[in-house]
Amino acid sequence: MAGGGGGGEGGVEEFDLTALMDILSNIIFFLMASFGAAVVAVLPASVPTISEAGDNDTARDEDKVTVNMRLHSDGAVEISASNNDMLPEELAPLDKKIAGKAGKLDAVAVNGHLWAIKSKYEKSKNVVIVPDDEVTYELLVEAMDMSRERHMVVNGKSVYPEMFPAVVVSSLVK
Amino acid sequence: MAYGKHKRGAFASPEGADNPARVNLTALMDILSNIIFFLMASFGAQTLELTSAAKVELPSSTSELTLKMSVAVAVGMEELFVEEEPVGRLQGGKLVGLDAKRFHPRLEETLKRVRAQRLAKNERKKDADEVILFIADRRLKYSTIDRVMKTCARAGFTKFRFAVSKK
Repeated sequence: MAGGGGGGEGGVEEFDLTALMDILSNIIFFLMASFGAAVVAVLPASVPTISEAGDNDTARDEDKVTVNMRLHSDGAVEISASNNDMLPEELAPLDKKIAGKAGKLDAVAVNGHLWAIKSKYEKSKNVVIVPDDEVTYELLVEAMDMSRERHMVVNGKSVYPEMFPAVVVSSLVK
Repeated sequence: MAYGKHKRGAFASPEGADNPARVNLTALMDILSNIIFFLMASFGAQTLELTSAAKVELPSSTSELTLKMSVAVAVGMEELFVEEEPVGRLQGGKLVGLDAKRFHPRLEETLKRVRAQRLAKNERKKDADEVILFIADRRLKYSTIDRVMKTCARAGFTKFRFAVSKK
């Protein structure tokens, strides 16, 4: 008999499927779990709040700045930097207007300029994004991606050094 | 032997001295690992379920941050949900039922209730009770997103985690 015992002598062998079933059910649950985790990720953000101390999100130390990104619906971006303890003339060279590309951000130019600011003021972490009313949620997420980390290749390997991970999404006072 | 070869202790076999009893933990470990995977799967599935209920097309992102438990607010092109409860409607991608100050009263009321329930349940404040898992359709305009986020902030939730699909 195909499943018969090799030892003979009347001993009846049984297939114990318990372990196999356990492994299979674990694999099924693991695949379900990893599917959910693989599809969805998150991006942290916050909205401006009124501080009781009258303080605000603008940087104060001279080794860091708060980046402001005005986002237009055609993908154009106006970038500037602010610091309560620095003169506007000192920060003016960091200002830049970057035109959109077919309704999207010019990813290379935006990411490159933000990296230049980060390289100069290494301790900076905050970015305030101010989108126009007509900006789509997709474009906002793209802007957050462009400001969060630098996309670069070093020795043939992709590396993503952190830039401005603390995002505040705001709107103009009307 | 530790489990009583000659004595009839708690772990001794009923037949007698020569068959020492063993504690077999395999089945217990199987059940526990199944439960862990089931909980992981059900959390991921809950978000996806909410996404499909609100008919949301998530934007894609390069973010690698994983989901954490928090209060879910889903904004589709037609309906607004808190957890799985529908709380408002949209017409042409714009929120309906805003008050004079352009907040959404029902969303605010629901979030305050959810927040109070969660805080009452926990002895200590948890991060998950303070953060919104924001599930929004990629086609929505910022004017709509802004209204929802500001209403959330008025209800005490100023931190968000935007749900995105991985690129």
